[in-house]
Amino acid sequence: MQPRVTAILVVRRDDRGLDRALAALGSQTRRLDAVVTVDAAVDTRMTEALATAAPTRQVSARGAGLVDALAPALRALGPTESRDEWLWLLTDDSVPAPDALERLLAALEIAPSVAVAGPKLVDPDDRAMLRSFGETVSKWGATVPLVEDELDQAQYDRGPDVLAVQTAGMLVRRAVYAEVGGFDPGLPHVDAGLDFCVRVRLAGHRVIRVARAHVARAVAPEDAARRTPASSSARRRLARTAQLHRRLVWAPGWALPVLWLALLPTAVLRAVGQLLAKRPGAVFGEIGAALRAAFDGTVPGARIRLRRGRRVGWAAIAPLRMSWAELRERRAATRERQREARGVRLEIVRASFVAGGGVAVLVVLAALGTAMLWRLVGAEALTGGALRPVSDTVGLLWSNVVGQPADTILGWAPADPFTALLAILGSLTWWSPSLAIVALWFAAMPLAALGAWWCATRVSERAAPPLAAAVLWGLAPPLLFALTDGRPGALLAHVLIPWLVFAGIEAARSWSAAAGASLLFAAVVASAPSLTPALVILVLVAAAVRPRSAARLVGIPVLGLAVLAPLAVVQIARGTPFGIFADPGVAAAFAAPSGWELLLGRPAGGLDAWASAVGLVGVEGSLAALASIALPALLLVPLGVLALLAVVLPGARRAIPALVIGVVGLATAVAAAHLNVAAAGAAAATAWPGSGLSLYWFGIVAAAVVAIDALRPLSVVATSVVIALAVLGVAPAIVHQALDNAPVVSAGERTLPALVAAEAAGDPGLGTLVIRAQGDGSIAVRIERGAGTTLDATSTLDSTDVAIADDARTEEDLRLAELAGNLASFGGFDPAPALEEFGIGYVLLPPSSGDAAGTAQRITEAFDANSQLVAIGETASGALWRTEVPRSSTEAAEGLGALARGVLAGQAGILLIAVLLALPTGPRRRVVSPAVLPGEDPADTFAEDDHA
Amino acid sequence: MPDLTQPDSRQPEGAQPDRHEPGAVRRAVRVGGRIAGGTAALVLAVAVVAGVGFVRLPTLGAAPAGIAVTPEPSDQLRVCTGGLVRFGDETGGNAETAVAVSGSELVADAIGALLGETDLGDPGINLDGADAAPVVITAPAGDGVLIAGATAQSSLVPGFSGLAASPCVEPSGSTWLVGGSLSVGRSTALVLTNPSDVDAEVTLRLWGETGILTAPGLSGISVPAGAQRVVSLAGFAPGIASPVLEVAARGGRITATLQQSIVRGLDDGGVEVIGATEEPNTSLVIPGVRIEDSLGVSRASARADWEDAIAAIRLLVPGEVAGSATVRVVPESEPEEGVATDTALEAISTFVLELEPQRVVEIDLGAGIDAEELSALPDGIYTVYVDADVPVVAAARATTAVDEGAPDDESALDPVTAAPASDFAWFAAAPALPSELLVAVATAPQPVLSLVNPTAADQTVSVEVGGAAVTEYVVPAGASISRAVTAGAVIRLSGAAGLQAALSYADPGELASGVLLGSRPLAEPITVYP
Repeated sequence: MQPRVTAILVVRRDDRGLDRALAALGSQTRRLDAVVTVDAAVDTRMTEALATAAPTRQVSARGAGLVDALAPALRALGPTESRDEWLWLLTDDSVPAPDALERLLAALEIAPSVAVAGPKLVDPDDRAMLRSFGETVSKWGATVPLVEDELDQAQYDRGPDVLAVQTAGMLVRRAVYAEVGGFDPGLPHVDAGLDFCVRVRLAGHRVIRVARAHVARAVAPEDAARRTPASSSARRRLARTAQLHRRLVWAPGWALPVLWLALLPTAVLRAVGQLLAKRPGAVFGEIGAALRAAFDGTVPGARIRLRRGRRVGWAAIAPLRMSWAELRERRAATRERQREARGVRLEIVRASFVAGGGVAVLVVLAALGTAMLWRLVGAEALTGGALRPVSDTVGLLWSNVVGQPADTILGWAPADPFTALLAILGSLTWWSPSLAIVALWFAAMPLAALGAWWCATRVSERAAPPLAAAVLWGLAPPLLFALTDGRPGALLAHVLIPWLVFAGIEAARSWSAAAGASLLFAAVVASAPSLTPALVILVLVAAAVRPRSAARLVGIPVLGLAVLAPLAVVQIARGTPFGIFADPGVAAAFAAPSGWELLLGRPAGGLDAWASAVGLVGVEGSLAALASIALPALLLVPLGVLALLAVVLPGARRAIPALVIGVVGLATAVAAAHLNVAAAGAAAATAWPGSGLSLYWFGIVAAAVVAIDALRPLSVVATSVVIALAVLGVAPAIVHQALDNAPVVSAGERTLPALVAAEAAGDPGLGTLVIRAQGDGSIAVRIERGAGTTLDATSTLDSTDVAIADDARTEEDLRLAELAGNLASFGGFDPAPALEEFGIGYVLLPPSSGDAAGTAQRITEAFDANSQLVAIGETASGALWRTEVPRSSTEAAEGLGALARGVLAGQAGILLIAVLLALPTGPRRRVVSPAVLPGEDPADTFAEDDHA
Repeated sequence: MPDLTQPDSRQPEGAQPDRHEPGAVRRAVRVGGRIAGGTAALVLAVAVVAGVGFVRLPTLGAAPAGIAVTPEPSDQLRVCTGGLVRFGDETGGNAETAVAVSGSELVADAIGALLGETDLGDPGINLDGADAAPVVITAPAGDGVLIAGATAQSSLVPGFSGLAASPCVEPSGSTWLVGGSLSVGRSTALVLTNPSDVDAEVTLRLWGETGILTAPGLSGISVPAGAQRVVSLAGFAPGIASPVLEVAARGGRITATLQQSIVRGLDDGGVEVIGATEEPNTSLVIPGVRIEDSLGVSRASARADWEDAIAAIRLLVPGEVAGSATVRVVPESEPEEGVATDTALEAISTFVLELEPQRVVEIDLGAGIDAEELSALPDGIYTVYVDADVPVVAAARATTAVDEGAPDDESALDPVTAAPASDFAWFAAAPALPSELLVAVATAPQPVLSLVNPTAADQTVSVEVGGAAVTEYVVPAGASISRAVTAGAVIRLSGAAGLQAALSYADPGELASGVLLGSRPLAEPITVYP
């Protein structure tokens, strides 16, 4: 009997060549018995166009799903008349070849058991390009296209039996369509054909693909109703949604609860997997798909439909599923294809670290650093400047990372993000966390040099420029100042900046590097918050310059900003917005630098070691002050000239961004030097300009390195001169530091006298009132609990609490001030109640010098005359008194509020995402030494690759 | 971001020359672009360097604000030295123990609050009678509360006969004492009283005419809380004729006085309780130096061992730098007139001393007198001004002796003949007074209040006795007046700001003095940075 074929043309949009589709229908070599157009468009013009096309029937449909479109069409066709009635499903973007229907029918004629036949779906522009030709599922139910985007070389023309075909161009026996219940409303587009065909198979029919029938299809099923093609992450989400739906429908009833409960955990695990696979966009899709599947109302109906239509068991279709082995093979092939398509260079050309002299530089710098800090050899902890020892145990260290409940707008005093870095560092030497800081001090110069060396290999593939970078960065004045002045934040920032730039360069290409850069960005801004504006500006400029990588580049600051955000909110709400930029650690004032000193890379004012050096030959006074500026300036001239020269030499495209970094860094340093952010007793402390100067120095060194690279024949000379002058420039500082006492000194494990520490071991709430005499006759006061405030327990929220009107002070502050002021004066005040209230067991007067010594003397007399204080004597930490009042034990700290927990969880989530994204999972790139590329001009090949 | 503003000029690669241009032109364009870019970079670099180097920017952000804390005032407290003490009993035994030899008579009162009196009992001193114990007078802290006290004792105990009067003084951490002597027949005891409830540790610095003295026991002298301790200076510096002491206390604040007695041969030469003098300063005023019976003294001076009877001033430069001091001895204007006649009285004796550091100098107050007119200072009340170019401490001493008439023969010099009744007094440099103060006049004969106005403006001082009688005195600028007051009265002085004053007492053979002291100013507000 002659089969009767009804074409059902679903029209959703008018701009996909509906005319062509209609024309193709009209020009079929096998005439169609009927054409039903389904008007699923929102556009009324479409209706008119369809009417003129004179179909057999025209119906309109609502909804974008296949089911929605087909239902009215089938209703219009009336009841099924014979078994040989066929439906040919077409959409407005499908253009069947003239002989497509004929060939489909030809295949059916010889196989009466076939209920569904699918054509080759090919690209409309290139008919030799296969888009889809049969589908199957893996053992786990994931959709596996048998063919996807391959050149048609007749390689798939044998073996017509497939598990499923896509809906486009599908020829289906109408009776079977009705028998299995039609398409699943839960699968509007993706996997609609797969699910349908599986049910057809389970009903005991066959599904075949017909190699000789071609239908050109313009868009993928999921894009059928979209104006623009779905993004890759959207496609993943739709595919996953469909898969989960199918899983819930296909699974046996007993497994359903397990599957349902496993939805979200699986989604989270898969999200982690997506991050590891560097597909951050797919994360939300995973969660969204799981949520959607969990509340998918179409599942029960679909299960019923499946059960009703089923005639054979799942085992019957098992052979058509894809085996694991085959799947693995296919996936490997796919990956290989993708890699080839991306065209990633798998080779890095750079100098060898060992043979290129990198190791030698590191060893020399390590020796130099040790010589400079020889006093600290054997120290267990450091103190001075912004430094203090850190907590004794790793547990305490980590507990200080979250902050404390406090009366702020967030109900919580967030800890400085720097404490997290301290916790990480301290965990490296878990038996004595302070030791990590000592180690950092000794390793700072070689570590900085190491980072600079690696960063410079992205600019030059020869040996000399990275060496120059390593020396200049390892001996940078901001680093030396951070070392001698005790600035742990600035020190870490200096060490990390080259790595940040290194990762930032790579971030334009790689999600992994972008995530790594975001981690480094967070570490740098946590160490030196004053760098935040500069770094954000630089990242945004980079993103604007390279719009194609903008998504990855703009993501770099996210973690850093998220980490700083709670502090910033509290600071702004409190009215001390500048406090955001306060350096972590103990607030320590320093002499304000002049503009010239900043230009020389010196973050703090005062006479430099050069003044002492020229003092040796009898130059003193203002001449020495001039010499301490002019001599190093002269020595730095070659470096500056090189940096400027880079602009006119080849490689200017890298030198200019470097100089931009330098200018932004200098601007940051100047701004930091003029911004009072914290209080160190009565003195105002500006942000430490050293961090900005590190950025400034980085820019200059980077530009100079570009120039050294470009000045090929002269490069060894240039390198030698610059290195020699740089060493000469900092030599007095290093010698001075080695000979003279610096603020950074070795500390005991404790910041308070051993007596207090010993008592605090049994009474962690033991308060010690520390009163610091100030030069102007005033006093600075704070209460330390237990064995003393450690570096990780200091908070910039405390040190930046400046300029608050008396009436805005907390009652506690006022009471403490009253207590301290009266204790430090002769008078009739009875301190006992206040001492008891604050739980103060000891009063400490740290040693002071200069004008403050007079104040300290008066305070000492007042303490001595106070019957509530018993003098204990001088300790290394200062003069100590014991109070004669009973102490009420202070109540245990309450837990953090929900808001704080939420914010912390959010930060942790972002951190986790960044870490997962940053974990290297891709293939490693092979490192090629320039020596093994004979005859190739490496500079030219490299210049094509814009790294900056 | 200046470098980004002209990317084209800096990026010769970016300039796409026409394909048909010959290579030379392209090269020229490229070189030109580089030159332009380099020039722009150089200009920008110079601008940045000059801008950062020369432009001075203001510093933003607030300086730390402290909390001004006004310390709670403490109770007003004065320590009134107890009776005279001597070491050992009458038999000469127990030389280590201080024994009170006489009681003292206390005059004390407070205004604005109730006066509290507490005896300081101390097992360290063998007290002979309750009134020999040191007394602490207190008044609660408060606005307008004034307190004053004074003790006097007129002793007839052999070896201690004479008049001693002293004001009750506020404890302090540092006291300068100028007076006393340790040469033969003179004994000087340091009386340390600690009224506080904290033990005090006292450190002494002791100077003599030979320089600063070092001896074991000068430091670490413990004065227990609420106790008195008497230390004999002879143990530290035997034979020193002109000691000067700095008493520094750590822990509790103390009062320190010297008690000097003179025995010349067998004759009592008098007693004195020497109070604190001003801290080292370049300008000192010793008010109310009372010369009585100058004739008697002059006659008695011929006797052996009477060298120290002459009116003298003792000076010390405690610093390390030598200097010179000008001493002016200015007599009082006519006391009877009631109003000073002349503001600029001529100094009767002026002399310049070259002072070596750390060496005590003692010199006749009349050293500058025109020897043709006068042989010594005539009777009267004098103000001694010391102006030095380095900080000095000073005090003056005067002696009185009953005039036995002109020696008709040699009998006056006969050592067998008893010496005339005699006493001496030390006049300390006085501190500037506050506007309001209370003065207790000891129950001693002929009390005279001497007021010195070192300021540039006349000052009117109201004197109120017993809350009723108000008398106003004008103290002319740069001059001094002396007025007799009632013994045993408590006087309220108003309008005395900046003046310096002393009370002196005299009778034939009796002389005593004490400077007027205001309350130490309350503890100043202190700024606290929490």
